[in-house]
Amino acid sequence: MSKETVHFEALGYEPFRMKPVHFAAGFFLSLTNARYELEMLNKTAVIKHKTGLRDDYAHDNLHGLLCEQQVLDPSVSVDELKLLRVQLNGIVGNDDAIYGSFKPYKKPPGVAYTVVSSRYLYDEQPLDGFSGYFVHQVLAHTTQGKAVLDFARMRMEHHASTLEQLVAPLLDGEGERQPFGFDYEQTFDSTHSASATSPLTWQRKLRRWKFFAKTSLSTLLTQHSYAVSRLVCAVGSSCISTAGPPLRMDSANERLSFSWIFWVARIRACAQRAGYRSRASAALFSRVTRRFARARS
Amino acid sequence: MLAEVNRQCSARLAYGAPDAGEAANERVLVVDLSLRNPLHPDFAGALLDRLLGSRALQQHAASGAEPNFARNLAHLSQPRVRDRLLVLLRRLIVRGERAPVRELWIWLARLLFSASPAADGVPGAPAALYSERFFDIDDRFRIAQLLAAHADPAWCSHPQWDDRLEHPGTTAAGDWLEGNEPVFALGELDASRFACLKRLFYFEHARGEEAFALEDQHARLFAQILADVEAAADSLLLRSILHGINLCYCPKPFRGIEERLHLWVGHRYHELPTRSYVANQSIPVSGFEIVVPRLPTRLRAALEYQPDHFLLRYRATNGRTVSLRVDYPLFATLSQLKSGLPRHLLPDRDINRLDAFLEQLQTLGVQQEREFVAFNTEHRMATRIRLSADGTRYIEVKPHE
Repeated sequence: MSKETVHFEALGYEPFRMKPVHFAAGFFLSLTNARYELEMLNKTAVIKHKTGLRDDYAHDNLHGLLCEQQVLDPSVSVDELKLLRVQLNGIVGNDDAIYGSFKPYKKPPGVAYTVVSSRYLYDEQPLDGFSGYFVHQVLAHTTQGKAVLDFARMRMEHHASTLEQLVAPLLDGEGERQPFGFDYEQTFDSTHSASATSPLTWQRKLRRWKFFAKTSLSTLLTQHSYAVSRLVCAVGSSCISTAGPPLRMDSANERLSFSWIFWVARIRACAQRAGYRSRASAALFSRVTRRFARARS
Repeated sequence: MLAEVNRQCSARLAYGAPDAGEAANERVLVVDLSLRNPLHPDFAGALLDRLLGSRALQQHAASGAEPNFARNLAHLSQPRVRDRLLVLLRRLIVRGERAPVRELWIWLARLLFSASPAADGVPGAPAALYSERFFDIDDRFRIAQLLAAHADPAWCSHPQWDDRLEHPGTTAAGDWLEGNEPVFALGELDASRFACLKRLFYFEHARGEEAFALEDQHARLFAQILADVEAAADSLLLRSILHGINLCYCPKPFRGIEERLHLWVGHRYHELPTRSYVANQSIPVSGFEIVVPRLPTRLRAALEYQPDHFLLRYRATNGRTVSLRVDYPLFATLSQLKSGLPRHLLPDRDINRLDAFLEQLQTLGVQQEREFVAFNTEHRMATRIRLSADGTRYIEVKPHE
């Protein structure tokens, strides 16, 4: 039996070789339960395709389209539009996970934009193998985890960051928000009942993990799935340190720092208690701790 | 009383003009000995004088039992040698280094003695010279590594003097401490002996200080800033630092790069470096100042302090300040950025500090503009993008030059 099969049987997904942006997209989609089409953003930010840029993706056609939609001033030339597209591609496609998704192209799985904001969530079927939804569910069963989720929700609704403002003309309006509507559990169960000899249902799986979560949140994040803990830390630290001006505590009026307690310090401490001391883990925690120190300083 | 102790401990150093808050209250004075650097010329000089003034050592030198010992004692007692030795220790301080008293004591005492018994019997043998002993490699002592890394004149080229040292008889004998030129036969002049000559040149030649004349300009400038308050107040220096920081995020120079510090933002989920930086907030150079640390007025009489850093400080309209601590490594990094060093070759430590500084500045609520500056590292392309006043339309896109 291959390693991938074992992982899939035990965890429900293959935790390796997953881009952090896919975990982030899955996690945030399950959190907000909403998505946008983002057609204009996709057509503008995608600047290459294996078959060449065609239809609305071609520079000339896009120039006309954007001017018609009053997103681009007609005084901006096609050559200048090319400059703009390169910059936007660098910003929202920073994790190499955006592809042409609208006509004439067929949408591939795993399109995800690199911005921490609810207005950038797109993919109906995130390519995270259920891990984002799974971590969300587990976090929701602990007091500390709920605080993390609250913070993440707050972050997702913070729309004043420099990066988001630059891309704002291409985003869908609030009225175009769509319910996400992807049924993880049903999809998970149907996938497993078809492939496994003893079906691992989502509820069974979740019960198993909730037990660990109630014992110690960090046990889940450190001892049982290194990949998930790694992704959570990566996305958590990105979410906190780079999503624009820091949010403030409602009463203390101090820089929001509680998240670090959960994302970093506690995870690290618990990891040590759990005896989790692999070299890679140490390096990861060291990196995240440095960010922690930086954010605190 | 404890509150006063806490207050003094939390303000170990003072920056800018003296104020009343620096005075001690309640007849409590906290003297933080960690501020005392044993490498300071006052301290190290006194230690050296104490050593050289030892009657036992002087008697041993006078006995003639060890000619090399007597020679080292005599030379180290010369003001020229003494002063230049202390200058080398000061170079370590400027680079943020220090040494324990014990280690310094051992290191200075070793200068009198030769490295091996074999060298004892050969008067003037390189291994017995104080100038060689000072730069001995000895892993037990950190000061040995520091001197080798930051203060050894043998590793600082000076084509004109190097050429003369390679050719015996081309320097004026009267310029040397002993009145004659130290000479090695050309056939013996290997790398280690040439290094020996260069060190002797530094310590004993009238123009020995020129040994460091061609070292990196930023090294001399940094020492000058710390020593001279007026040099620190120079607006050119401020502009130069802002220039370096902007280059860290946008390595393509653009007009006004020295006039404003852009608050760059980059984001990538993956741990790889981001491909894009964007800024729509900036602070003009006039908003910053450079301040060099000093001892609070309450401690001025207690000990000597040699600064090893300065602050690039921004004071917001609400009175909050955000500072970047610029020490020698960071100063060198900023200088190297201006020389074209790419960002991916910079030490993480320095990049993290610059990131943290910009993040802190963003928390001060600096006005966000509708004009963005974006740099794409993959295409090496800097672009200025202007949005309409309501932020819903791109009205100008130009290369940022």
